[in-house]
Order: sequence, then C-alpha cells, then structure tokens
Amino acid sequence: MGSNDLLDSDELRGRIWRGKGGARSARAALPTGFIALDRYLPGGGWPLGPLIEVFVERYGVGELSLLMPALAALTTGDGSRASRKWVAWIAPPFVPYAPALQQRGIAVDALLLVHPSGKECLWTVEQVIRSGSSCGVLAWLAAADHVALRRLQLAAEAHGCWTILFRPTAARHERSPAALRLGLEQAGSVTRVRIDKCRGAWPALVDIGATE
Amino acid sequence: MSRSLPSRDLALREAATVPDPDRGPARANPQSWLAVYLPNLAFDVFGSQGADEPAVVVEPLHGQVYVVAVNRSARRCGIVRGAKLNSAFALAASLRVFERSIRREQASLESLSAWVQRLTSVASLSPPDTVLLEVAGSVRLFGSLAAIKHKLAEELARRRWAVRLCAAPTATAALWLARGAVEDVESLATLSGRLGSLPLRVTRWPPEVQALLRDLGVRTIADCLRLPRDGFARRVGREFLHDLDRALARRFDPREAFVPHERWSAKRELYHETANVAVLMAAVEDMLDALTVELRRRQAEVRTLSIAFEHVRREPTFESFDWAEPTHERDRLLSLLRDRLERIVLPAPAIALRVTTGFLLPLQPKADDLFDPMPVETLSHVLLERLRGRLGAEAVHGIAPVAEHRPEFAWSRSDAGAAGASCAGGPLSPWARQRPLWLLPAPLPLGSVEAHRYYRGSVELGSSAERIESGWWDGRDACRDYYAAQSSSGERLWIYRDRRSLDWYLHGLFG
Repeated sequence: MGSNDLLDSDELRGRIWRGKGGARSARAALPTGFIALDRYLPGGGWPLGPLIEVFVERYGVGELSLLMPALAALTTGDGSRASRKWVAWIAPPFVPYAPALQQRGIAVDALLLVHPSGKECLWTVEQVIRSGSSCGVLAWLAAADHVALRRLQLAAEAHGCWTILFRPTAARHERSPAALRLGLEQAGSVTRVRIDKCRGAWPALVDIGATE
Repeated sequence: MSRSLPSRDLALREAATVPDPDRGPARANPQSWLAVYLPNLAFDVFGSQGADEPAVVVEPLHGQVYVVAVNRSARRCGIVRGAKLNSAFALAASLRVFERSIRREQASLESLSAWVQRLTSVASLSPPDTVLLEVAGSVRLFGSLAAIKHKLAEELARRRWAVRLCAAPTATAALWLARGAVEDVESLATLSGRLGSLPLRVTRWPPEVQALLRDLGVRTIADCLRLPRDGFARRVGREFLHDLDRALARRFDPREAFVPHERWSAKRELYHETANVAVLMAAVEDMLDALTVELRRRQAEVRTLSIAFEHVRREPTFESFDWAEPTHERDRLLSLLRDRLERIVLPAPAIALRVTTGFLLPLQPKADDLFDPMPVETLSHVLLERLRGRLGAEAVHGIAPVAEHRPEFAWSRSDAGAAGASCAGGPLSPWARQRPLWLLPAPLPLGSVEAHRYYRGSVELGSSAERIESGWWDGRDACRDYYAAQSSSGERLWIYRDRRSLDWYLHGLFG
C-alpha cells in the first residue's frame, strides 16, 4: 500500500491537514444524512464547533427537514439519559411537534425548549453553549451584529457544539464569522441548498432529495 | 424472658411457615423506649377555649357523625367517645362542636417531636396520638428516667395537653402499656407478664380481628400469647403475630426517626437606605458566606432560598430562588443570585435584607470524577436553573408526545431535567408520517392576514384527506379533514377543513 493510499483512507481523510483542499477540515463533523451535501462539505458533514447560518424568509420550506437526520443521530447517541446532553431550541417560531419529531427518530426527551424575550436571545444562546451541557443548539435569531456572532463562534468552537442559527434573509449580506452560510430554495420537487459561504470550499448549489 | 408459649415444639417443627421467635431478636444494645401518649390530642389541638362548657370533637364516618373526643364537662353530662352527635346534643343542648383536624394533630405531634430533640436524638411519630422516644442514652445523660419524664411533663403542662408517659424495653410494648395506663416496665424479664394483663384493645388491631379473638375467648394479651403460634398466624393473621413478637423483643422493631424541618435565616441591616446593587450584593455575599459555613458544618444542602428586602414604611419585597437540585456550593448559590439581583428593580430603597432558606436537606454526596470536574447531569442542572432564574420558569421546558388523535393535544410540555421524563407517547398511528414538524399554536383561518404571514400566493392540495374526528366527550370536539398542501411560494403547509363550518384552516408547516 502506497503512502498516498494511506492518506486517502476514509479513516484519515479529514483528520490530516494537507495544505490544499482539506484546509480546516480537521474538525469533527456530523454527517448530514444527505449524500450530495456530505460530499460537498469539507469534513464530510456539518462542522461541529463553528457557526452555521441558515437563511430563511418564511418557514416550512424544508429548513427543519434538512437538519433532521443529523439531529436524530445527535439525540440518540450513546450514553444513558443522565449523561446525554441537551439539544436546545432557542426561540422557535412555532411549536416543534413532538409526534413528528419522534417519527423521524429523534429522542424527544433530549430536547430543551427555551423562549427568551428578544433582548435575552443572544445571552441565552451563549449560556447554553458555554454551559457544556448541550451538544447542539438551534436558535432563531432576529438580529445579531458581528461582535455578538463572534462571541458565539468562540464559545461554540471551544465546546464543539453544533450551532445552527436561523436568520432572516435580509442578514445574508451582513458580515459574519460563520463557517457555513446557506439558504434553501425549492426547484420543482427537490430542495436546493444554496451555499453562500463555506470554509474550505467554494460557494455552490447542492440539490438534495426530499427527506421522506 | 419468660416462655409463655406452650406450643413451642409445634412452632419449631413448622419453622418453615412460622419462623422461630428466638432467632430474630438482637439484644446487644438494650433499648429503652418512652411512649408519650396524648389521649386527648384530638381535643387539645383546639386549645383550651371554652374549657368550662361541654365541648366535643366529631368525625364523620359512614354517613354518621361520631364523637371522637370530649372535654371534662361534656363527660360530666354523660357524653362518651363513640356516641353519635345527635345523642350528644340530646344530653347537652349547649354543646360546642369542633370538627376533627388530622392536619393539626399531625402538626402538633411534629412540633412536640421537634421539642423533644433536646431530650433524645431518636424520636418517632406514631400517629395519631403518640410520640415514641428512645431514651437509653438519655437516661445516662440526665441521670434518671424520672428526670426526663419530669421535663416532658412540664412542657406538656405548658401546652395544656393531657399526657400519659410509659417506658418499656420495646417501642411496641411502650405504646401498648401507655394506652393501657400501666406502670413502666424496666426489664425484659417482667415484660411479658405486665403486657399480658393488658386488654386486647390496646393493640388497636382492626375491629374485625378483635371481634374474632373475642369470639375465641381471648380477652387479654396473655390469652393471645397462650394460643398456638401457627394457628394464630393462620387464623388471625401473620402481621398480628409479628406485632406480638415486636412487643416482646422477639423481632426487630425498627422505627423511623423523626427529622425536624429546619431553615436557616439571617438578617442584615444596612447603614442607610439604598437601592445600589453593589451594596445589596455585598450584603448578600456576606450572608451566603455564613450560610455555606453552616451548611458544611451540618452536612446539609438547600434547594430554595428567598430574600426579603425590607423598606421603610412599606411591605418588604420578596425574591425567591430555586435551584434545579439541592446544593451547598457557594459559587453555585451565588451565581444564580447575582444573575437576578443585577437586574432587580426595587420599588423603594432597602434598609435591611433577610435571607431565608427552604428546608435544610441532608447532604447527598456526589461521586466526583478526578478528571472530569462536573458530570453532564450537574452541568445541565446548572444551566436550567440559570435560564429559569433569568427568563422565568415558564420559558424553559421540554416536550413530550401524548397518545391522542387531535393534533393540538398530541404533545405536551414536560419538565425539562426532571427525572423520569421520558417519551411515553404510546404507539404512533400509521398516519404519523404525515405530521408536520411545526405546529401553529392555534389554527389560523386560511386566507386571513395572520395566516398570510406564513405563505404567499395560492394553495394547492397535495395529498388525500386524513379524517380526524375525536373529542366529542370533552367539549373540544374536532371534526376535520387534514391535507398536506403546497403554496405557490414553496411552503409546505398542513391545512384542514372543518367539516361543520366547511372553513379552511392552517394548522402546521412541514418545515
């Protein structure tokens, strides 16, 4: 076996910094559950640690379905209930519907719902990340400036927390330290992920099949 | 111990069914129990009001009202315990009637048990009317049993409670002797003889058991002891045989020790009125230092705490704090207080602060990991109490599925972090795949301004209908046909048509 084969083995790919191509992909990643998306993303999945921004104008366009496979893997991970960590939903716009979540393989008892008032939202996100008791955060942020996002980014990277921020489309053109920024479009029956920024890869359009 | 069981041989032969009495007991540490029997407690809890006129305490039973306690002047009129209230009124027209309060009796027993902590460390409640004290050690401390009884009698005279004190080597024997008004028994050797002369009613066994024994010609405890053990166990009941064994120290007689509820409280006067957070926080920190020292000394923890801010010419302002689990750590106590106090708005400057804790709980030592300073469970408790402290308890919760057909009732809020919270949702219906991830808090009429915030353009039905018809029994009747639909702007909606009004509603988004 040549040394190149060894470097290309699945086990090592993404763990070794190789100068070009694999830059910054050494961090752990969480498979998205969509083959096309996994192939595109540098680590082979959602980056764990740096912020991920999802731009949605209105809800119901498949923004949650995009996260469901990863969320299921995260909540049903090994460990008893006592040692399992929370996945916090901060300021969700509607009621996350428990029977539907359970149907998609999510351990509902690992979810923590927090409804802060608008001003407390950033504080809450930071507390949840910094507490070290959560492995994932989904937050619906109305407004956040670069400094606030930078704080969250540092906290999330320190704790390796899967942090998804849902933000209004208007925020797309603001500066942001997030490692991955994406939007969703419907193209016929397939959902199209429009990637505006991705650390270690070029912006692109990725088609993913329907989840069901 | 005198052997008062003629059928011992039989008992030994049938050891498999009725254990041999002599194997059980341990007499390594001789105990001495003092029963504080309060025969008239049901009456005494109402105080001495109206002592000179006839008064009774009554309790309803099987649709009738019976007298359960009487005072002296009522007794003089001829009213006895167990009489019906109507017949009592016939004997004394000016009767004062109190309804029995079990809660007050329990509180009285608890307050007495808290008081006797100065005489012994082991006090045990024996409701409804007795407190049992283990006094073997206290006799040595106070010199004699008489000294202890004297102190007790003084206290009970102050409370104006009727009392009968009786000591015996076992708790059950002390209880029975006190009810039977017999002198103290000091040694095990004389115990069975003295117990034997007591009538059967002191045992307070159920009436049907006492009636059965009466029919057998059994009048006293001694008669009971004379019966064959195995026959007694079979015909009367094993638990009553065990009662006898406990009374005669042939069987362990563990009693649950009463632990008084205690709180910790401290007050700090400020030099001048202030609403300055830094000054208030410094005072609170001082008090917390004292609290943590006290908690460590007592090996205790607290779970709740309240701070009263006292004002001049105004009612105090109260702030209360809850921790997700009991704690004794200063940092953890302080971080929650600080979060809240930094943002507190007092209606007026404070002149004094009082910190009062909830009940002190015995310390539950946690297993610490050498390399992992805090287990995840603790971390999540810390997070929960911090979020609840700042955002309010309502703002933090979990969710759980509920087995129910109507979509809006098929989920519930659950207490995040509570032990045993699980997803007991029952079997999912085969339709569950079509449920949306987002549910609107309340259905919105399709086409209304509110609903149009969530989609644009026209709506196209996507799937065949799912009919949900349920809930006629609780007044929130649902009679609907649900469809998955897609709007022309791309949102996947969950809509239904009410089959009564034929109106369309938006109920969820597929997300």
